[in-house]
Amino acid sequence: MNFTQITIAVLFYCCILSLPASAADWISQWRAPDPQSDVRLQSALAMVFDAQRERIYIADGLAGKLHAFDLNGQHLDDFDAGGDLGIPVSITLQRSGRFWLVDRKANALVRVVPEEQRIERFPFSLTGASAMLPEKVVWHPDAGLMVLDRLSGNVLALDDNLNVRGRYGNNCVDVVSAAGKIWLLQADSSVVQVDPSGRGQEERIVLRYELKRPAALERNLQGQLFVADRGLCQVLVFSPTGSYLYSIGARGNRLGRFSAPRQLLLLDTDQGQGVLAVLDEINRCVDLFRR
Amino acid sequence: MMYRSIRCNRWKTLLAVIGFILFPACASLALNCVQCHDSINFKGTYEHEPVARNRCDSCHSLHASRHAGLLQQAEAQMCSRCHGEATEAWAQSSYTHSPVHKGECTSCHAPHASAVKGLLKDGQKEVCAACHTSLSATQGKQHAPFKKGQCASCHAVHGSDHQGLLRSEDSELCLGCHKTDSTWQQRHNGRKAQGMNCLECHHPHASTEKALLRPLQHKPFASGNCAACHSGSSADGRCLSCHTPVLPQFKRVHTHLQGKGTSSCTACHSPHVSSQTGLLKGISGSVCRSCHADKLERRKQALHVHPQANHCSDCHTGHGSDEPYMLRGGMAGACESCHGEHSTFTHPIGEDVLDPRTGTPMDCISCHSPCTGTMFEHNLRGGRERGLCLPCHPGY
Repeated sequence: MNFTQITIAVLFYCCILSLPASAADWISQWRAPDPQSDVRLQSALAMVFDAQRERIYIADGLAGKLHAFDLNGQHLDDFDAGGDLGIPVSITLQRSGRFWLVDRKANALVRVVPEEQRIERFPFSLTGASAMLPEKVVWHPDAGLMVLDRLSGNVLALDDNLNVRGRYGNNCVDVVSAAGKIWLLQADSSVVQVDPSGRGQEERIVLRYELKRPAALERNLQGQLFVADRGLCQVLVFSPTGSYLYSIGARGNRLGRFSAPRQLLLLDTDQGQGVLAVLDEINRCVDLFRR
Repeated sequence: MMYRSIRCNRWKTLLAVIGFILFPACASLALNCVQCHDSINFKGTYEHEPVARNRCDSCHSLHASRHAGLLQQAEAQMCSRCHGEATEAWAQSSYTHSPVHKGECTSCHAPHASAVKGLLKDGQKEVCAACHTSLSATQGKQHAPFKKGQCASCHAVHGSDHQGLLRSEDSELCLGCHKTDSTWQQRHNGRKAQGMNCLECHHPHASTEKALLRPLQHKPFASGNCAACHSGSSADGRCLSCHTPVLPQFKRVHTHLQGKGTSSCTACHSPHVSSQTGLLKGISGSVCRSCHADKLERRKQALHVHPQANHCSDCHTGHGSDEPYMLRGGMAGACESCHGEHSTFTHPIGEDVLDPRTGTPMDCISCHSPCTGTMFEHNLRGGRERGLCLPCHPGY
C-alpha cells in the first residue's frame, strides 16, 4: 500500500464517520397500546414521560383518561379522576411529580396531585381582556408553567396565580422546554428560542424545508430539531441552524408510519436521548423508535 | 452541358408526375368531405387553420375511429397536438377552468369556423352564460365589463394562478380601471389600495347595493359603528365577545382558531359585507381552499372524487370538533348523514371491528378516501379485485 492509497482509505473512513445520522438509524420498536392487547384508546391526544419511573403517560382525551405504559409498551394502569378529567388535550409533569393538564371541555388548566388523589381546576374565559384557549401546557424548571394560547397564537408564561407575566412567539403551533430554554414552533416553519429568564435575545431559526402543516417540535441534546408534519405525515430532522437532515416514517397506519402525528418526545432515559416517541391521533397510539 | 440539361429535365418530369398524382388526391380530400358535409358549416369570419387549408384529415380519421366525430384522438389530445404548449401552461396553473381540465375544448370553441374571434361558439357573454347560469339572474346595477359581456377582461378563461380565474391579484386588477382619487380615499378611510381585497366587499358582477357592495352586512358596518370592532382590544376576543353562541364550538379537541389574532375569524368571515350567509368570504370550497390548497391539489390528481367534495362544510365543521379532521359526527357519522342505507349492507365497521393492520376501529375511510379522491371507483383506496381487500384478508 503506498502513501496515496493510505491517504484515500483514511479519508474514506473519515467521511463515513462524519456522515450525519439518517432515518435508517431510527428503528420502530413498539406501539402503545399494542394492537394485539385488549387496551384501546378512544383518542390519543397528548403524552408525557416520567423519567424517574420510566413511564409514558398517554392522555385519551375523549375518554377522559390517562394511561400509563412502561418502556416496553406494556400497559400498567389508567386513571380518570372519577370521570373528572374532562377532555385532556395536553399534559406535562412538574418536578414534584404533579401533572398539569389542559381540559378543553372546561377550557381550564387542571392540576393533578397523585399522592392526595385530587385534582384542581383553573378555568379561563374565551372573552374579555384575559381571554385564553390553552392548547398545550409545558413545565419549565426555572420559569414554571408555560401555556400555548390558541386564541392569540402566543406562548404565555404564567405566574403562581396563573396570571400572564410574559408573551412569546407569534402564531405558535407547539412549545417545548429543552436545554434550560423554551423552543417555539411557529406555523411559518420557523423555530424561536426564548430564554424565559429574560436574559438574552430571542433567536429565530428558519427551517429550510417546504413543510405542509408543522404540528410538533422536539429538540435533542445535540441541538437537532425534530418536527412532526401532519400534512406530510413524517418527522423531519433539522440541524441546529435549520438545515434539513433526514426524515422518519411515512404516511400510513402500520408500526412506524403516521396518519396524524401530534406530539413528539425524546425520552430522557439511561441510554441518553436515543428513544423517540411519536403520538399519532388518527392511529390512536404512540410509536416508539430507538437508535 | 447537354447531359446536365437532360438530367434537369428528368427531375422536372418526375416532379410533374408526382404532382399529377398527388394534387387530385389532395383536392379530392376536401371535395369528398364537402360532398356530404355542408360546406356552410366550415365557413366563417374566423376559420380553424386546418379547415382553411381543407385539411380535414388533420383532425379526423376518414374511415373509422373510436372517438366521437371520427376524431383521430380524444378531444383533449387532439387539440393539444397543435396547442400543446398552451394547454400545458394552463394545466400547470393553480386554477384551471373546468372544461379545460376535462379536455372539453368544444364546450366553448367551434372547431371549424366561427363569427367570433378565438373561434368561440358564440359571443363571449353567451358562451360563459351557457354554464354560469346563475349570473344571468343577477339583479341591480351591473359592473360595466359584465354588462358588456367582456368576461375575459377580468378573467383568464383557461387557467390562472389567482382564485376565480382572475387575471391578477384583485386589487391590482381593479386598479387597472379604477382610480384611487380623493373621493376613493375618503370612502376607504384613507387606506392604501395596494394589497386590498376589493372583492371581499364589492361584487364583481352586479349588486342592488350602492357601489356594488355585497348584500349581507355585518351589523356594526351597516350602522356605521366602526369602533365596535376597530378598538383597542386584542385577538379574537373582539369577535367572540359579541358572538357568544359560538363559544362552546371552540371548546373542542380541534378548533379552527389558528392563533393569528383576529385573522382567525376573518380568515373565513368578512367583517364587513358578504354575499354568503354567515358573512363567509365565499362558498365553502373556495374559502377552505385559501388555507387547504394542498388538499385540493392532491384531489386534482385523482380520477374519482366525491361529487360533493367542494362542499366541505357538508362533512366538516367550521369552528371546532372532537373528531379528527373536524368531521361532523365522527369518521362514520359524517358519511352516514347521506349514506345511511349503507349501514345495512356495508363491511362491518365500528368500535368493535378492528383493522388488523393497526388495531384501530374500522370506519368508512378505512376503505374510501372521499375527500382527496382516488384512482378507483367509489373513491376506494384500492382495486376491488385484489388490492383493496388483501392487506386485511391475505387468505383470500
